[in-house]
Amino acid sequence: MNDTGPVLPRGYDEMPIPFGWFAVALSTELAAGEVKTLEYFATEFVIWRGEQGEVHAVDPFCPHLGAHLGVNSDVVGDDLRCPFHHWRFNGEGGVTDIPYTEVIPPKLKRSCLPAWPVCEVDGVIFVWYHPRRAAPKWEVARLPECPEGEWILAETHDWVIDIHCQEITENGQDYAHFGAVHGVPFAPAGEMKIDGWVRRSTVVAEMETPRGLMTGKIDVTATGPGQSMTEFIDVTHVVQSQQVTPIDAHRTHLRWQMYHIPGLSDGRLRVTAARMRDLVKQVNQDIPIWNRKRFHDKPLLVKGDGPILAYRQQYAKYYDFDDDAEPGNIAARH
Amino acid sequence: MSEITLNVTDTDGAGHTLTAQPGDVLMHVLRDNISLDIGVCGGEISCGTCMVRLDPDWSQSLAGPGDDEAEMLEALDAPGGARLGCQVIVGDNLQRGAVALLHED
Ligand code: FES
Ligand code: FES
Ligand SMILES: [Fe+2]
Repeated sequence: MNDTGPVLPRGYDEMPIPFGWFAVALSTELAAGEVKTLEYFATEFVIWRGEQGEVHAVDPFCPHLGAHLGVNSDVVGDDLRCPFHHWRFNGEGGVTDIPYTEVIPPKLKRSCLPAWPVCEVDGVIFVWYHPRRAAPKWEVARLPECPEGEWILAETHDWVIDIHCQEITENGQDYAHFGAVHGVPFAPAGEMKIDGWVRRSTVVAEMETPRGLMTGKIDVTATGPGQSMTEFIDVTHVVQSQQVTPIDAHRTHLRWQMYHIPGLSDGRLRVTAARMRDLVKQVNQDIPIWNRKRFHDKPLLVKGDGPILAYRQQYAKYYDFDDDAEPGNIAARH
Repeated sequence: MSEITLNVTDTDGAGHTLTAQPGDVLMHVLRDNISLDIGVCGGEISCGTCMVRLDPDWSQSLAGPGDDEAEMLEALDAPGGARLGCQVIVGDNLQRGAVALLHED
């Protein structure tokens, strides 16, 4: 990577941070009783896991005298205790204890510390980010149904990339780069459908298997701007659960958890491992381009480029910060 | 501008004669003349150190407590008719008033 930053502006200063559910940690990264300060969305917040296991997130500064709640604080039961005067807060940001005063003012008990909606699903901790703190508009998506038994988590990966998060998820709609960057010999034939806050694409593609190229199906379901699941169904059956989380408008944290069905033979396990390796290889081919590209508001597009503008039109809904913003429906066929 | 005379009884039972101007917040008058332990929260309705009882004429000339004040008075287990001095503005129709401080540590 480059030691010096880019010389020319890349267009991200003008791009807002979208609202939505975003992954902020893996479940394994936050033990019961643990507190962490996280920096995403060009801001910071504090998360903790109560002793019963529930995760909570709040703004960083104590409403009392302003201590940072991520520094030397403690988890007491389900609550977070500020280090400075030991006020205790629940997950709604309400005060549950002040050790030196007799009466806790009722309005402080209700809430006096802004709390963030939190959801923990399939081993990932999500928070709902909205610059005006509007309530969540959809639910975090879960893994698809496993055809038999339980999905097996084979690998996790993460990368911090110098790019706006909108650009990473645009990649799947950018059909022409598959050949140039990834050496996929032809553009995948696909279909993209937009249904409310969910974007689905089904791609029928030739995939490499030990028996040569084989036609497989790739289903992508993106729920909001922060989450997508890609299901590969051919000789093996793999789910790549992906989250993109804006650190700010210029930097994105990309996470993958890769699952496969249980009960695979050794041969199929080898194909599965190769598929996962190939996906990691592909993202490593994208990253150098992502780290230095520019966002073109009006790109020069030609036939064969894929439904990039339809994707952007849906994505613009994530910048509509009115409380009652609703998505429209678009379908694009390639 | 007509000054207002306030006869204040503190929590030890001692009497104080103070003057106030119309528009003064009662809590500020009590804090500046009687004890700096009054009004710790600065009028945010979260300390209760400004709790008072007013004479009936004065009390009846005022609008009743707002929701936050009523809720805090209830949490403080305040006697009936008590008010938070930070929520009482000395009115210009008032010539004199009697105030009993109720908060004890
Ligand atoms: S600053 Fe947090 S308890 Fe005082
Ligand atoms: S000054 Fe704190 S409640 Fe009135
Ligand atoms: Fe100190």
